Amino acid sequence: MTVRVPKGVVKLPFTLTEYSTGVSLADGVANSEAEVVTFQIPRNMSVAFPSGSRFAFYARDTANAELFLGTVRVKLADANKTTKFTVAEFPIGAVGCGASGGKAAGLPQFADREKRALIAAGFSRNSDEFLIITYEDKEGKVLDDDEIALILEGVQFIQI
Amino acid sequence: MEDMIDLAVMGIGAGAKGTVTGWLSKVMPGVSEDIAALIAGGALYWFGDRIHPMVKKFGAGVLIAGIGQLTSGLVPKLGGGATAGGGGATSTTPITLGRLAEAEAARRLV
Repeated sequence: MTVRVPKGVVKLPFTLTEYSTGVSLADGVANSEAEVVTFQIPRNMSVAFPSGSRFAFYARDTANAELFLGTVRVKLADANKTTKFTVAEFPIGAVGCGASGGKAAGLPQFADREKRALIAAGFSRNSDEFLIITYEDKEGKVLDDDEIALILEGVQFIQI
Repeated sequence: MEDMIDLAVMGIGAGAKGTVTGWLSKVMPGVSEDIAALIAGGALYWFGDRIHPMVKKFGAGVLIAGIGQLTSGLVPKLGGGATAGGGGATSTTPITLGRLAEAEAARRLV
């Protein structure tokens, strides 16, 4: 189905990173799942991540050691965070960790777009709703929010 | 009076276009919604009177709605701007940011 973008709305590429406006980062919890990246979609904006969108995630623990064994999940939540759904799940090794060299520097998934993980099924979020990335630790380490690197590519619609 | 009934049945056909094309799209998954409307409407229009004369009128409505949807981008709206494609039966539902994002998310990049 072709949807024409109506007058007053622009469709633009969108990349969510750890530095994106509206993103808040938090430390992980050892041996538990924690919300480490939270992005609330700004007003007058919606985002879409079609099937095949590229995703990379890298993190270290508070002792500056790379995380290898956890699970990264992308979740969607409503504006009140009352309902959450997991829309993508990866072992952390599949999306970015596994090679040393600074904060994600030189990692294939970050240096080479073609090597990033692909989202299996598309999803979208509207204004005020949340896109959350959780990390479930399995090696007794605490993910350090200062050591998160993230790339999630998609599309944004902005009301102008 | 008979004309009015014919018109009403055509209107019902145009309104039911979504149901008819939805069914056809399930049977033929590769066919887009507007083409499905043309196929279904055309078949009902040309062969429908074998079942009942009103089926032909109903098919005409579906066909008109399909043509309307196919050509909706060609005719600019009064006051400027192309329509968002209402399927002949003009959609009054505004295209919201959320619906745009949902439609985009339904695409496959690879």
